[in-house]
Amino acid sequence: MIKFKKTLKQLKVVGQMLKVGLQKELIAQKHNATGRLSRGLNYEVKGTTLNVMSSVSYWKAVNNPSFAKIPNLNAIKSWLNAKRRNGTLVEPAGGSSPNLILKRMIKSGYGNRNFNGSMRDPYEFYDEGNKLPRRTNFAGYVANKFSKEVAIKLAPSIGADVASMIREKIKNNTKAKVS
Amino acid sequence: MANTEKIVVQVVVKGENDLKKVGKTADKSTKSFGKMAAGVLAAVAAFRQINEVIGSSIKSFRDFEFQMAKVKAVTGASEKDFKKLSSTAKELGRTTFFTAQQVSELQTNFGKLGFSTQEILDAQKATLLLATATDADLGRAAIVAGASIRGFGLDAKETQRVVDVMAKAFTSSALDLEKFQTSMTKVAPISAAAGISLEATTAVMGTLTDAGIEASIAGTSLRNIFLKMQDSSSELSKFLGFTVNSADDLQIALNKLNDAGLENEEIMELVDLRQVAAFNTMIKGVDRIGELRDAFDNANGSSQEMSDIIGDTLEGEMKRLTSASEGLKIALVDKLGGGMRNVLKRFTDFLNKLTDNSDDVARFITRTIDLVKWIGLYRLGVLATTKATVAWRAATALLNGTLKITKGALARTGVGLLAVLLGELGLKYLTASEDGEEFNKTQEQINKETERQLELSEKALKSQSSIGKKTKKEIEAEEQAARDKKFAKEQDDLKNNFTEGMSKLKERLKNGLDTQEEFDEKAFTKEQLHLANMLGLYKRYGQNTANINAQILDNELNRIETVAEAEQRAFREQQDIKQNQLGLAVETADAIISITTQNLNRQAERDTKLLEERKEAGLITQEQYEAGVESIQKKAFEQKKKMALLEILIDTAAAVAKIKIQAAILLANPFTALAAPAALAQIPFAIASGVIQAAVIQAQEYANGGMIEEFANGGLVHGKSHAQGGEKFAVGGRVVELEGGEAVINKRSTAMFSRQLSAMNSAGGGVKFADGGLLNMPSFSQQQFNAIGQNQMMGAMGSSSKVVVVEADITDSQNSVSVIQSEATI
Repeated sequence: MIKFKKTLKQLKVVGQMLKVGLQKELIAQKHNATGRLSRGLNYEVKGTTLNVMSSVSYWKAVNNPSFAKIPNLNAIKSWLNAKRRNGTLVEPAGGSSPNLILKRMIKSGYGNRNFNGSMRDPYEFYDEGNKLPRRTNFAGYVANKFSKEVAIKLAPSIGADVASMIREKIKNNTKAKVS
Repeated sequence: MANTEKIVVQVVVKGENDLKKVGKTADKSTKSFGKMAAGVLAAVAAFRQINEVIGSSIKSFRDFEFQMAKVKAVTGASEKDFKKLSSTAKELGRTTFFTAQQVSELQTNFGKLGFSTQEILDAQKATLLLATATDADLGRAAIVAGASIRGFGLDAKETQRVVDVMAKAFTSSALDLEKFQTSMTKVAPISAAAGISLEATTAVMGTLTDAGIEASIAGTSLRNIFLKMQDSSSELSKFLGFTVNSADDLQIALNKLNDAGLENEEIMELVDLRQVAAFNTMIKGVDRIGELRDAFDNANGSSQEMSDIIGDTLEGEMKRLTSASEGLKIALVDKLGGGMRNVLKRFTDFLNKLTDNSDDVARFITRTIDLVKWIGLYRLGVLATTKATVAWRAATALLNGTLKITKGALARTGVGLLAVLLGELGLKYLTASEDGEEFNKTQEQINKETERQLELSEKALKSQSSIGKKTKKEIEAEEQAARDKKFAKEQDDLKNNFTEGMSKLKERLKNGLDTQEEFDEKAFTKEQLHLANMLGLYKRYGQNTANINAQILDNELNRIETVAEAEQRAFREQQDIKQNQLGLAVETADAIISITTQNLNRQAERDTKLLEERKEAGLITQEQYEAGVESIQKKAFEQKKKMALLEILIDTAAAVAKIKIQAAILLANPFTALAAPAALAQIPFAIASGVIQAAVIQAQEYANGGMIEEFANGGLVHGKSHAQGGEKFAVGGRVVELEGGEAVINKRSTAMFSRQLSAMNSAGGGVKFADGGLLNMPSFSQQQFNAIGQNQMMGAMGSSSKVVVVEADITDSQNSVSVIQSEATI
């Protein structure tokens, strides 16, 4: 059995590095309005796998806006009924239609599908004067940016673990026979 | 398992299978190594076992030998007698509960009691039976039995009788070996002198002991009583009327005394006060004494019987097994003689020599581990594929080679030899002939073989110190050395040329002859050329080219990266310039339109004023004046309509241009390239938006009351409420609806008092400007929608609050177009 003792230790170092990298990238992409996403980043090592995780589920929408979901018609109907019941809904002259609301939401840029059901292309929104080089894919960018560094950090510890494995095998072999 | 939905980045240490392969490779090496080690260790274990057996045997033999020497010394036996003693000791040791050494102790004790060799030989077997039957110490049993024989003046041949009586007494009365010894040493000589037999004495003694009289007191009392019975002048003899001179006399005397029914007072007159208890017990136990005596007289074979019963148990078998084993050891050592010492000495020398070789073994193990470590580093790290593959190939080849070398070297270092030889030696020993001489000859042969193998091993070690070269002949080695030297020289030359060339380039950069870009380009070319030369050189000399290849690849990758970055930077700068130019053009167009509009207004004012003056001068009538004003306003309306259409046209063109620029920027960035088509797809929306706006403006007729007012300086809106249709105004090319009574604040004041205005607006049921109250708030768009939650969005849509001016109220199309007019005026 191979024991990745040093590798696992090093994976934690890599996890911290990626976490800080992601936080910096979120700031660079101006995705730090409340800081909840940034603060919610954490990492864990399971087996030989390092997972850098987010405590909030909307990280995917920040990473890729087209991932943001829109409610279905039934949900909109329920919402409308609720608003009507508590009297907070001001309906236009022609009345509100769940279909129109949904259509408007889709036209407003929500969801990853067009109104006709076809897939919407991912997009990036630029305001006038916005000089940010990127506003999406913060996770992919960080993963790509750090991939080489991760390898450089992990490789020696993996090598050391392999060496330990060999050493252990020789040692165990000897012990087994002696006893 | 972690929730995969939450995983932002994942790092997996790949190549676990590769590791297993490495593990298997290592296993192979460790297996082959392990086999040797196992062989060695098995041999060592066997050797230890052998050594233990040898040690144990020697110890047994040594102890036995020493004990027998004492027997010889004590008995003063002749060589012939001693051999008899020794052989019987071995025989009895092998076949009974007791070891040969214990038998020899028995013989020693008998010897001390003055037993002759023959007497010892006669007495020892019976004594063994006694010890077996009574589970007593053999040496003590010998002393007791010997003392009894001597005490009663019996012949050693009668030992069997003595031990039979003793065995019977120990089982039928409270007597045991200790009590018997204590009491019998006191009474035996007196009994013998009185002619009272062993059986009769033992019977009386047994009766006394049964009555709880302590052995020492019983012995002393009985001795005194017997003495009085033999003394004719004693009161006891006088009372009996005869002296006791045999066992029968004793029986008669005791019967007479018993029949007399003596009281204690009378007894005290016959014997001393201290013997009263014993004497009284004897008289009253006369029947019991008679029974015991009869039993002892018929005790022949009792010890054997008892011994058989006790021996027929597991414990008995175990004891016999131990004795047999001891007997074997003694016999083996006896027969093998001094050859064993020689074997042990040889083994010691051999192991010492192997220990000297342990450094070489350790060195090979270390080398293997380092190599695997190196493979782990390159194979398992996620480095560039090319590098890893090349390194892996080289490392694997090296590993395979080294493993072979290691295996051979290990065999030569003597570890394998140890395994073979120890195993063989162990086998030889175990199957050795009982004939010591023959074994010694075999051992000598083995020792010679060991010496020869060790010599070979030493030779192998010497040759192994320069492994790799040694497999080649001397001439080849020299040629290789020459090639290496030449390679080193050519390598140095190439390096020097490269360093020199780089120095010149740096000099040119320093003197301003080359720019930084030119220097970079030349330096890169030079370095790649140098590496290509080095690669050729390495290949020519059959050297490992992995590092050179990796370096070339690195340089190429870095260069591609640098160039790409520079190009992207330049492109961005160009796009920035274009955007600035576009912004400037739009601003200029806006300014021109604004000035033109102002001129038109002023012209209309002037014309109206002129008409007013003419009316006041009475040149025209009121009706003519009104008709003239209407004509002027209508003309101004038409002209402003044209200007509005022109502005829409310019804005639409600018929006399309801006979308194109942004799409180009998106396309240039690999991370956002996918978004470029989506951006371009917005162009039709922008155009459509412009067309719609133009159509709305075009549709406005002066006759319909579409007054175009200008609130450049702000002011109150007059006219209909929203419920009545509101008042429509053109805003930067779009039409918005205000209502009478609403205020319009000019741009400068809005900027100065935006917070206060926001608060004022929200206080009256409006919304805060931050939520979209400002016209030129570009962030209230797609991006804002993405940031706020879905519920908020829906809440905003259903809110009863009325926004002063919201883009969404103007046209849905605006949501599809990213550009929002920022400098709109009403």
